[in-house]
Amino acid sequence: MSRRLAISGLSLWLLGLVLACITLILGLVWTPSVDTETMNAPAAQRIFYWHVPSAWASMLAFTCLFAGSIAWFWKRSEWGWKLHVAAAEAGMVFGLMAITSGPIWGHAEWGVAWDWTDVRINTFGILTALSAYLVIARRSQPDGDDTRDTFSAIGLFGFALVPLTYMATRWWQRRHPGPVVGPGGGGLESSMATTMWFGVLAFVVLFAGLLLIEWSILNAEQKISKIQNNMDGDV
Amino acid sequence: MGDMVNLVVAYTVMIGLLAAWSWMLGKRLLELLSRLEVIEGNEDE
Repeated sequence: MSRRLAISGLSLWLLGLVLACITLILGLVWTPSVDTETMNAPAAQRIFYWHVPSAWASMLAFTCLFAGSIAWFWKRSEWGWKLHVAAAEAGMVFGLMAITSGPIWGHAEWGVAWDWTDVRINTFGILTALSAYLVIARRSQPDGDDTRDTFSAIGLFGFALVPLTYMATRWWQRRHPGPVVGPGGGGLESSMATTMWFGVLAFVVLFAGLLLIEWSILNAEQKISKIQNNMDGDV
Repeated sequence: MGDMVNLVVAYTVMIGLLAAWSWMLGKRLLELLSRLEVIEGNEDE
């Protein structure tokens, strides 16, 4: 079971990497450059094709982290805990991608890498830091109900920042651009939109692959500790 | 030119993160699966 899950996860992860590479090529070669009148840094604008999909994938991960935390608290569900752990790792990886590429783009476009007064940028930073904390803290603590309760509580309350982060550019837009697609979106040129959506697909596949790989790692860890406990009991 | 450097640095960092995470995940998974195989083999004996 662990092996089959692991192979599915690895296959999805590899497929996601291929799709992400195609997105990168499309973004660098196929999509037209923005004009210098609308953007100060037209080359750096191409960071967009991975920056936005990775940010969306991390928001998806934070939502799964919330769902997993609820399932653990409500039903003491083992799959809920596994979802919490896997989603925290995905949230950290994709969040770090968005949070490192954003300031580089910001520095080129606005001349400022980080704006401490912009709600979107700061709440997203806190979300990524929270998921990083959950990943690191879980590895340094023995597994048990108390540990799981504490980390799930952080996952639950931290989720309050997800809708806030999503709505921040609509309510208090300062520096981070507002939505480009969806309700109230500014719109994108068709080839730019195609590349962006292709990127979103790539990062959703990467996210699914990462979840399955983490899931199979947790299954294997639990199986090993169960067998070792049984062996210790026999001795 | 400076603008292009930002683009290259941003993608290098993001590719680096993905590559590092892929390597770590793959390594951890393979280690655990081979350990599991050994333990299950010993248990059968």
